[in-house]
Amino acid sequence: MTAPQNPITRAIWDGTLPIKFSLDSAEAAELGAKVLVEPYFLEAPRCSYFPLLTSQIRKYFVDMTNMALNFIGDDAEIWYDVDGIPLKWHYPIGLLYDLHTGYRPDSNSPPPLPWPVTVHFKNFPIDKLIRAQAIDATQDFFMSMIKEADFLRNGSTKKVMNLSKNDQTQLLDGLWSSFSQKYRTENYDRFWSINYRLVTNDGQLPKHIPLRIYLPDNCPVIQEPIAPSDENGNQLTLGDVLHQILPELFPSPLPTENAFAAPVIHGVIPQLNIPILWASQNLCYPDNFLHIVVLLET
Amino acid sequence: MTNASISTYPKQYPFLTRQEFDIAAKSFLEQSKKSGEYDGDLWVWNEHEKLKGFGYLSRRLIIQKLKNDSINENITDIITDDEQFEQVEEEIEDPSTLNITDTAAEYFTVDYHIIYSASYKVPVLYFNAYRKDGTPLTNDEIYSCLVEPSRLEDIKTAGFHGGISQQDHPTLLIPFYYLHPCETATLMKSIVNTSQPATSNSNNNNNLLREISIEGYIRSWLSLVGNVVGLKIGISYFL
Repeated sequence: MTAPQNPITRAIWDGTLPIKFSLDSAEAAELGAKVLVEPYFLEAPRCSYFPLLTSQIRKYFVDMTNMALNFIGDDAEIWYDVDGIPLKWHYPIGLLYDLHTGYRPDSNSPPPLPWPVTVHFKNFPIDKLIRAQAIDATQDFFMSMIKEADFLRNGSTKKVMNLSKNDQTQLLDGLWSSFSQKYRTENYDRFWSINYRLVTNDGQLPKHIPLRIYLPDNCPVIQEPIAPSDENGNQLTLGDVLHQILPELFPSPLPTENAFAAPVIHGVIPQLNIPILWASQNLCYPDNFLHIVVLLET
Repeated sequence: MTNASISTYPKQYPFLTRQEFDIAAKSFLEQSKKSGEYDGDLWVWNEHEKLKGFGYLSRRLIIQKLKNDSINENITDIITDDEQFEQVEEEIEDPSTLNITDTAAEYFTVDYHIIYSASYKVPVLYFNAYRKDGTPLTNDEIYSCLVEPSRLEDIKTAGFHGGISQQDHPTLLIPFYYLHPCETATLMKSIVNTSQPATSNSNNNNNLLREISIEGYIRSWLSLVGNVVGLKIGISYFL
């Protein structure tokens, strides 16, 4: 079954970010002055996850340093930080970028690209980051998000749990392989032919929309049960939802002249008048969630 | 002074709204204080410093795990400071006091948090465990040292990677282990006979409860899930 031809979901799937990976300076210093470690540049899919890039990054740095790095550990010990803040590997890369740079696309300055990320081979911060970044754990997390999205839509996880082993594998394969440009279309089809059923809920109106809102400064992630329509059957818009959840930041569901907060998803500020149901079906990440970063005017 | 509060019931049992959870938590705190159970750390309510609606319950316990597999947590009410701690350790190390061949006992500090899941609309038990030297237990060690042996098989085979994994604490945003909540609603439904109305005249011969109030929700829930990871609720909570 081929994926539906949806230019928006395709554009989101294809979205990438140029990232500049530099070895942690303390770890580089340990290698001695003889070894100059150049950074590694990578075009990373916004919808992917750092652990899926790790083996490639590790290969680069180990080769680059002619094995001086002498890394014999597990890929799961490798971690990343931006400005000293460890990156949560279970968040999609695009979400991490939007959240950590706090860049508003409506500002006059250009986006901070390539994104400078520091790579560490040691001292995994177990008090700050969940362990076991290995690909298995990434897939487990991903599947638990899909389950949670199903639960929010239907009040049970039956739909996801009833996916055939084949379908589940196809879903995961599409995601895992999403990195390789050569197979991007093939993987989009693989992933979305299964995901389509989940995201459109087989044509049934979902009970609640799977969505999460991220505020800056390490605030707790906001997740409230949001129905797609109100009691009168009117579709709720993105503006309605933001106004309901964050009335101080969004005093009106409509765009206002001096609005100082804006929602950012996939590096774009969407219009407030889009129906939340449409947003959920077209702008969600592969894990089925609408991850919305709310940024304040600087 | 009698407890003359009016019981209210969750609008959509077994699910709780955020507000209902907050009420349930406050009642649970009262019940825990009245239970007079431990001199050690009691349950405490915590809030996020900036955002409302992210409150949670927390408690720190010291758990003793005997290598021969039984969990003995009576030790908690006599360990109140390091001196006593070492003294007890010395006593335990003397085999003649316990009559068991392999008596090496390990102590763990466990932080239990009861948080609210906005997605699953039920309480969820989060926890982190540390050895005496402060090092945290790994996932495997949680299974071997903290999980009730009789529940080990069940928990290990639940879900994708077992019923215990790590997740970001919803308020603190740091890693915590937690018991997967997907079965909680089913569990809470199974202990209640919802075909009977919650009236005050109880001519109910059924073993099942008629309904669980918001005020009684957490102690009932915890009595079902807590013992999996060393957390027991005494009968005094229900009196």
